[in-house]
Amino acid sequence: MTYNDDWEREAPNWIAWARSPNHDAYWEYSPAFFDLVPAPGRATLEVGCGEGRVARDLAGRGHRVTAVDASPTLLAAAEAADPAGEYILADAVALPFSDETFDLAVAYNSLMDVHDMPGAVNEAARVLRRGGRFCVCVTHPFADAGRFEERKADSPFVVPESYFGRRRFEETFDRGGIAMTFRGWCYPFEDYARAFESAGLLIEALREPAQRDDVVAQDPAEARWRRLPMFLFLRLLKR
Amino acid sequence: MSLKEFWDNQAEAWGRFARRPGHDRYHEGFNFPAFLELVPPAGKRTLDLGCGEGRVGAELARRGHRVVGVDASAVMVELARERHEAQVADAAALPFEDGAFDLVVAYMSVMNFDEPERAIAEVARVLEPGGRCCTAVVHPFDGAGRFAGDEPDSPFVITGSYFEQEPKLWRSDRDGIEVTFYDRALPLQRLFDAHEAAGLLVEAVREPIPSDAFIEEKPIAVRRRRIPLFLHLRAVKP
Repeated sequence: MTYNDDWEREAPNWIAWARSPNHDAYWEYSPAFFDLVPAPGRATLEVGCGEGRVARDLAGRGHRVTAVDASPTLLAAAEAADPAGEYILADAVALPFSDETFDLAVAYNSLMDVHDMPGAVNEAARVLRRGGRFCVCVTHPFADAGRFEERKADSPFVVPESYFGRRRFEETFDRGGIAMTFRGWCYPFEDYARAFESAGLLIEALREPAQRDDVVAQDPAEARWRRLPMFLFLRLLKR
Repeated sequence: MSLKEFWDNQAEAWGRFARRPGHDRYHEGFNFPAFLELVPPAGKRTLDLGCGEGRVGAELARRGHRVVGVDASAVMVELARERHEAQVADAAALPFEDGAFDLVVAYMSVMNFDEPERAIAEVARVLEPGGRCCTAVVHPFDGAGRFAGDEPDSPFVITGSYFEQEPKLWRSDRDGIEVTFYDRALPLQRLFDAHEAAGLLVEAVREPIPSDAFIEEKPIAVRRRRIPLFLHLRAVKP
């Protein structure tokens, strides 16, 4: 299998980052994402679980979760934090499961990080049974196309180049003493949609969550994310 | 003034705008050819929702579709009748039985409806199971901002809100034909929520980019390879 070197390199930073309460947008946006996730069925797959916080939250909601990741260090951390859970080292484009094993698949901010996004979508669809759902969160393709000039509520959002095409991103954030480098790819919405289409997945629901009022009350600059969505949520149906 | 009244008031000018060959090149050379790629082959009966003077239905009829057009404007419908069957109707209350169509096309019309959600609910009602709905709209990312200048590489800037977009009113005045456009883009979630509430599943999404030939003709359109201008959807009724 192919390890995800981008994430393996960052594993210690990511474990610290992801496990510090309220450190990143997950704490603000994930409740709205879980609202889009169907009730637990027989078997839930998480693609790209990292250190495991999404899998733990799904388990906390009653899902029987099998989680995969391509970083051995992150997977070991996920397993250590949840010894009862099922964690498997696997590449998202070659899942070690038979066709139609799961009734739900979840990919929370992981499709941007796999080297072959359409391949990963296709694999998730393959292991879903008919009528199963695939719930996806990605950084919003519109937000990925540019940036706010400043960290202010009314700052202009500027797109200097192009929204189109597969573009590499690599950016380091240093916050609260934890430096974390994010690496992956940005895609226009059509690229994700074409991957769903060719995998036989239909878009059943789409959400563009705005930043929460309570977060803006604490930090007024966050109001810029009430003018443009930071994430895109999708619930897909396998025909 | 409602959007219905807005369009009714300039129906005659629109008819001249849409029918003069070479006048609406973004339609002829860019938007419509891409949209047609998403439209299924002719089936039993095709509804053209917001048909205007009939240029979309006319092309579909040429391709073998049995087209029925509806528009809220009596003047538009009179023009459309020169080309295919058409009747005056409110998109939010279509005068057809459940399941009367196997295809609905709504080309650059949904964002001009006063109640897009009710229109899409009606589309779902008049579609038979397995029927498709193809929609073209102004792309919501374009609707949220503006180019900062007139150069191909001018930055695209959003100063307001993507979620609460201001309509862009602009006037085209060429060759003695004056039309005012009221471009209001709907955020993706609003479009998809309307489909979800109507029970329609979106099976294809396109963000078309202009061809080399089109850019040769309209060099400024090269920036539409950076920022999308149109959004096309095809949905299926399960």
